Amino acid sequence: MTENPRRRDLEQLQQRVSNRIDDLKEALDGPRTIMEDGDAWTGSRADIFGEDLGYRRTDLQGAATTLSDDIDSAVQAEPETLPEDE
Amino acid sequence: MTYSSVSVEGLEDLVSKMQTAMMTIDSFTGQLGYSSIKNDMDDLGVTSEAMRTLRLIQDWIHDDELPSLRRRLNLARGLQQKSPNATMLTLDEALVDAMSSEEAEQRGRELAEAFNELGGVNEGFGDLMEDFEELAYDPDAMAGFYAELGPELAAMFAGTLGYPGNNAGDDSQRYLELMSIGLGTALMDETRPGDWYDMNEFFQETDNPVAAWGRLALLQYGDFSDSQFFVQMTVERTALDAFTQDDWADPYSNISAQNLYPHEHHMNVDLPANIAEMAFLTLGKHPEASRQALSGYEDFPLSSFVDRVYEAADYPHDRYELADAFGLAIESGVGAEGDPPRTEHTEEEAAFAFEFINASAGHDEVPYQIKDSLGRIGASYVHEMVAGSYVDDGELPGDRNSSMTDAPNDFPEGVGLEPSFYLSPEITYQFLGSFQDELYLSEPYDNAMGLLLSEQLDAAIQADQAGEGDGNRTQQVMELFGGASQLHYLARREYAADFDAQEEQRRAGVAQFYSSGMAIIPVPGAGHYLYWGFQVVANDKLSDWVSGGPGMEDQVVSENANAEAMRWYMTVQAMIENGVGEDAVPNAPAGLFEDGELKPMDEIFADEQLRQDFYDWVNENPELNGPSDDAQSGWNDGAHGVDTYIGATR
Repeated sequence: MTENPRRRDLEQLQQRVSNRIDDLKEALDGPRTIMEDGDAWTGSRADIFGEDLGYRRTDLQGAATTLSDDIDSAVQAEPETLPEDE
Repeated sequence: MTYSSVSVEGLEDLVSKMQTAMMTIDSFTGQLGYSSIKNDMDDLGVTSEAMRTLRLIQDWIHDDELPSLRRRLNLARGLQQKSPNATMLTLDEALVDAMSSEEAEQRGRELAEAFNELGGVNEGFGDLMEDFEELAYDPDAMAGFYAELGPELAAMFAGTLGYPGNNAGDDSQRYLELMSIGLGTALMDETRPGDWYDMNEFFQETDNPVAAWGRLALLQYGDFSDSQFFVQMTVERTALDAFTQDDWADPYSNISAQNLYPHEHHMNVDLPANIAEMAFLTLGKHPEASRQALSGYEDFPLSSFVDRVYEAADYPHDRYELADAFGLAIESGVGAEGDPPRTEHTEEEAAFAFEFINASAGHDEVPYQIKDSLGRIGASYVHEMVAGSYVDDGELPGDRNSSMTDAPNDFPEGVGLEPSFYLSPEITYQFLGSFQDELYLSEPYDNAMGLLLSEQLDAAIQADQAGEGDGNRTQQVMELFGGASQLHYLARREYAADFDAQEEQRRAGVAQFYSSGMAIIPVPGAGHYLYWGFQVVANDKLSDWVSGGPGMEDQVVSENANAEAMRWYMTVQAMIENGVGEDAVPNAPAGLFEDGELKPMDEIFADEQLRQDFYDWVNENPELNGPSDDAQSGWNDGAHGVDTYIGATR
């Protein structure tokens, strides 16, 4: 048996994503806090933006989780080793 | 109509965080062409539906929200100029919808083309300025306008508006102000177009006085608070580089010595004609630029500027107004704005003030036109003036130099004074002396001394009463102020144009002020009376100092009190007001207190029996008598130390 290079590459990708995924999930937290504090922009137009921002933040967090899961699945689907003759 | 409430700072933060969010998402999607997780996934043949969602969110930020947020921020910056102190601004959302940043920039460019076609302040200029006024607070539009117009024409239009006989006539001032506001607005646009950087030609020297004057005029009225580098570079290259040269006084070869027009009184704008004067006036409005420009020349330090300006104001140059404008530049750089001038400073302001005060104090002859600025600088650095007046026992002139960091030996720390630096007594004496010609020149300083003395005395009495430290803070504070007051008095005596007349004015002021029953606590604008009240030095009755005049017969204080008694009364009153000896108050002789308050000085000194009762009562109560006597000793010790020291120098 020998090490599966694709598995190794996928694990490296998994690690890179893992390192950054929290930043992605939190990317819209800063803008949302600013809008919630009401120190930057208030009014009906700001309310619409703030609401939209909330939906996008939820979508972003969902997408980040999905992406992470998809890469985990890709890693799991790949055997760690290959027969010598492959 | 839809209105929003916005803050510039908040929107700046929001825009910044939205940009960061977009870049974070892009590090996954790679839509902007940088390496990304998506590239890595493609290489490995991995797919995820999530990428589609991420791209949609990125597009929403990049295409939909950031442009309108940036536009909203830019419009808010324009509005902030009209309401500089407002934290939240009201913004009409229709303005955000009316034009995108690109459309606003295009409108600015079209207007600049119309200026260009007109070729000068000619017939029709007024109509163009009406259009300009509509856009003057729109950073996108103004960045487009100035980028398109270019530096040469911008300066020439401004210069022409200053020139007598131009077609704008009485509107010249208003148009010039608008063009300056517009330039300040343009600099607020963070996403200025690429050709904007042609405007950096302002950072190159010019030998054309109209262009030089025009550049500096464009910096007079707008808000350049976040564009100090632009101001600094323009002022240096346009005028100060030339002013530092050996031919500085030659109008034929040196641009800084030239004027826009030979007869300033004919000019139809409220600005001087001289280029160097315009440069200093500009720095007077821009503190950071002032410090950087006036202390940034390696071979021409701030002291050289002082030497040159003082020389220019003297015979045979007689450029008095240059000293006036230079004084404003220094006031700005040291942070002496406000009424009363601000007394807390940044390290940069204090370092600049230290350099200037030492340089100016080295001159025996100081131009009269800068003396009002010197008085305000003294007022702004009143903590440092008091500290600089401190003389250690046994200290002789020359024993120490001014220092940014080192306190004199045995300097009383922790008594409330917070100097940013320590001047030598000689420098303090000479600097104070340089604005004593007339009483009004020193009034800001005298006011600041009154306020500081009152504040420090109250704090010291309270600290002593609370049992803090050694319990002698009041005495130490009085020693510091006794020294400072005496040094000031001696400087006034040496440098006043007419010392006797000044003394008469001061004493009459003190006598009138306290005769009218005014309290010890200084009221705004009258702090100098308190200071003068403490400062009076002769032991004669105040009436002996005042030669008479209308209303003098009503001045009961002047008729009945002497200086020592007055200072003693004021100290005791400050103690009582701060709760010292409060147990003794119920047993005070009848008539000394009214509604729990010690009667004013004029009433006590007008009645010999009451005055005697007051004196006896204080002496019978050790908690009042001891500290007040110690305070008097402190004051006298401080004054005596200075007398000895200054005597040794003369």
